[in-house]
Amino acid sequence: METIESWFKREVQSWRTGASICWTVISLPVLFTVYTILSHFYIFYPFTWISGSISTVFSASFVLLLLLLILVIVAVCVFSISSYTVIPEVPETRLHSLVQLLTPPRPVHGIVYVISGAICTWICCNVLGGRYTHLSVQIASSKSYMLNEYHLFLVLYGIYSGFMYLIFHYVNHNNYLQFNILQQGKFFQVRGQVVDVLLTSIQCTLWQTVYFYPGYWLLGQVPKDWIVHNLSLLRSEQSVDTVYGLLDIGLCYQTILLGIFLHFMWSYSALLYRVYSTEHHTFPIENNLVKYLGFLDLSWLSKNSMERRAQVFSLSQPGGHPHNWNKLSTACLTEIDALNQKIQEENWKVFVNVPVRQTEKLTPVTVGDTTTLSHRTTSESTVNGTGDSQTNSSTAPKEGILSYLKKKPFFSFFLMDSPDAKSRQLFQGAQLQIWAIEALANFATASYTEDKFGVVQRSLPSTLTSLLNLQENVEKYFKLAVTSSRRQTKDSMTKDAGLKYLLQTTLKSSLYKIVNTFGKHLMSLKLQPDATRKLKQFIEYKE
Amino acid sequence: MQGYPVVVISHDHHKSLSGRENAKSAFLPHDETVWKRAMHAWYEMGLSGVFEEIVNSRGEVPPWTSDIAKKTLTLVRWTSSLHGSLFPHLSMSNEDMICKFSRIHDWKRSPVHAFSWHPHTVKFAYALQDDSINVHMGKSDLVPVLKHKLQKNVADLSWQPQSASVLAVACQSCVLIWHVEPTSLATRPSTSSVQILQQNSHTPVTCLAWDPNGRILLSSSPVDTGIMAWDVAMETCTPLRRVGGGGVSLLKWSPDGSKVFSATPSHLFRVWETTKWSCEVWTKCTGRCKTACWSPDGSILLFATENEPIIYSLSFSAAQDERKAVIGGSHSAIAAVDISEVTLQGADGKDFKTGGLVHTMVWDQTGERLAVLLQDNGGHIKRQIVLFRTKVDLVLEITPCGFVQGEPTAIPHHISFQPKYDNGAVLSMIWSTGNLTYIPLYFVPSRDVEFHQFQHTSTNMNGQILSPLQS
Repeated sequence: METIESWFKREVQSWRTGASICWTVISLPVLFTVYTILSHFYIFYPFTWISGSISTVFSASFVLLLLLLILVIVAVCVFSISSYTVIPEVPETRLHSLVQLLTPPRPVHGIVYVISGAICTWICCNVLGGRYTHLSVQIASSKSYMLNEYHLFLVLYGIYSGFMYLIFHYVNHNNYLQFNILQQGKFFQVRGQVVDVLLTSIQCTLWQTVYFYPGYWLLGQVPKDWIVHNLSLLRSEQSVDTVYGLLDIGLCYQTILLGIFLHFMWSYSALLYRVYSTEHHTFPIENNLVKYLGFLDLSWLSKNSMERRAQVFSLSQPGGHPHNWNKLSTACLTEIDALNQKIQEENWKVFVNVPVRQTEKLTPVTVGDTTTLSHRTTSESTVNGTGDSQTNSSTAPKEGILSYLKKKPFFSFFLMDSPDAKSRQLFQGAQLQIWAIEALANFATASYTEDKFGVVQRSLPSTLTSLLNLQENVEKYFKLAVTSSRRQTKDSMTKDAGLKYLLQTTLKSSLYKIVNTFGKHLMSLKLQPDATRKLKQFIEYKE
Repeated sequence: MQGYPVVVISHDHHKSLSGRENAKSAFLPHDETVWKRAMHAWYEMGLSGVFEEIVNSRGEVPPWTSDIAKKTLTLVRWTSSLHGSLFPHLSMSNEDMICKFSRIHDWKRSPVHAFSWHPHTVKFAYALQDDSINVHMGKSDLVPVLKHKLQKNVADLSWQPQSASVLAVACQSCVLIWHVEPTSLATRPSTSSVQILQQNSHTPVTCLAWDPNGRILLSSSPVDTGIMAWDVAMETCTPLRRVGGGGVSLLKWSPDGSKVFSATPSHLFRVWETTKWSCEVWTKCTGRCKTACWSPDGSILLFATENEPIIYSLSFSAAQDERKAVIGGSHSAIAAVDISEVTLQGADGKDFKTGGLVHTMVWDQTGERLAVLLQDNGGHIKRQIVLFRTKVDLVLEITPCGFVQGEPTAIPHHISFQPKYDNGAVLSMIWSTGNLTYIPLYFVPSRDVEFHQFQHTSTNMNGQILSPLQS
């Protein structure tokens, strides 16, 4: 039997990917034309500027270059599909984020971006014309060729842009598929975000250019020599890697413009891909759940679609068992309970950590063994450094080295734990559970009027118990582990950092939704006394 | 009323800061250099402030500087006036703008600047003229006072549905989200728990609307054509933008959550559906839409414009196919009630005038009572609050029910229904004397009557059949 996964890839995802690439291709001519017009900008002769750029745009070479550009971009889009993810990757330390960049599929993406950067720049140089066109120029007096360093400068910049975009794509979570709170039309979503994408592109380009200039000044000699040596060209008369050469305003303008063009082109295609793939998809109820979009759809239908809810509330024949609902609620409750378990374990770890530190202080006195004592003093600063050197002999040196390195200024920059990495990792996939909670609460609410057979209400106690348990554990976690307040972390907040707050809010509002619908009747449910006590708080609006 | 707090807003609360904009004149003349003054003007009012300062102190700067400043200022004002002539409200000051678009009648003189009932329980919050917010919870004597340095010119308050403690505050520069813990005993909750939602060029925020599920918060500003949809927990926002109108002055989310009404400062308004967020536009109104309210099932919208004493109704058909996002609004609005000025005879035999333009309309949660606050034209309309009895059942029926009269000198500033009340509806009013009064309207909603009648007849039948078994 065909798996859901492959069915989804064939029926849904391929179409969406195709559509997003299609739209990228359709908007490329416009983008490229705008770039051409801007790159021919000449302040003192506006008429020459306009006529020159128009003649370029309508030339045959422009069309050929555009076709080549389209090919390159399509290749980039196809290659980068595998980089998108619904679960953000949370690095623990800076070193970890570097390691993440070097794990298998990513260097390949890097190479794709770098090559695409180089080819795109070559195309742009051809459109620019004038002194940027060719890598070598013939010297008028003799027949020998000399290196055109302006061309080389731009191509190197294109390669550098490709590399920087890769970092932006992964470190800045540009590949994170975030589901929008409103399901607007795709056109309006793109229109709403495109200005932000452009601004980000400009910002990133300016930032990366600031570092490229001194870099070229210092290291520009290396690629230049290599090319001159290998292609046996003459050196150019004006070299760019001097302070004077770099002060060329025209070159600077073209560099920044090129950077913005490349960055925007890539991030625009990424934006289209994100918008297309996070679009709401209607699943048939009978099927199993394809994870994220499935849960999104579930939460959507539980709120908006009475017709499809009726299928959930219905009984299957023969036998009259509520199979649809049982499957759904089991799937949701499994997810919720799994998260609950994870948070509870994390809470216990925090609980356990407190007394461990106290006993550690006492142990040297009770043991009285000088050898272990001396060992202890060396590894005292590590919290987890244990005294049993025989059993943990393999891990102890590693820990020791790590703790030693952490103290050194250079290494500590890479090895320092990000302050909220642990909690972000705990909640990195929480979007799924958030939808599950919303869906359960919506179903329970709708069952008040729509559930003819009492299918949902029969499992109301188990739903409530799960939600209340998770709520209690999340609240506990916030009290124990989330030390920094929201305001302090706001500056460094990444896209996924809000998920834990979202989970907290969703839990509360879902419980209130059930309470508001059923009112006092909830107290007649048979629940654990603990759950009843928690529920009472909600009924009195005291949570 | 039992279980409701007695609220009288004392006058010294709102007298202290009545002249905020004149605070500058209270200080002695200064002898700072013109450049320092220009710098301060930059911080306070931006670039145009600098030019203004330079032009004002012509004698102290080189003549060419003041010349350039003058010419630039002229250019800036001319372009802005060009823009302003299309949408006159853009050239208003922040306070005038809030005053014009606020739901409070006569915002500048009103003892409270905003008021909001909690959607589920006896709890409400109101903002005073000094921009502090008081929260009353049931009969409790503990009244938390919320103050924050960004909390200026509060124009709207809104409690989050499906929650007990979250209050959104529309301020001049941002939206603040307070978490007022119901179990906490603090009278001044700490500002560290406040979330600040800020968006460029989305100021002043004058209107807020929560989605009935408490998930999405919409905010609007009369100068921004975009409505911001906030995901409060994630602190992200998605703009909903359409061309035309020059801003958004009023937002109303229908109680069933399926539609959102948004009015603009010009003669058009929109209704959005909330699944795909597409919208329909109604143009050719006679004036700006001033107030609007939804029926409980979201099938009827009542609205009134700025310059006609008529309440219009607009009906929406239910979606046939759920997969398609349909708004289904009728093509044109129907005049439901004409409330032009009339002279009536009171119970005491004296004549009194009533009727006129509408300022605010509120509909109770059962859809049975409609309260209308009339615009005061120079104080000759004595009974400003008119009550109607309504019935939404295939066709809308509206019949007059009565008037609400306060103390002889008191002017009503705000009316609202408590969103949840079991024996009918509770209308709350804020008067110019600082009193907050409640009027309980006891009735049984017709829907419940029909339900009980049905149950009654069916049990009777059962009783006849089953009586031998029961006895």
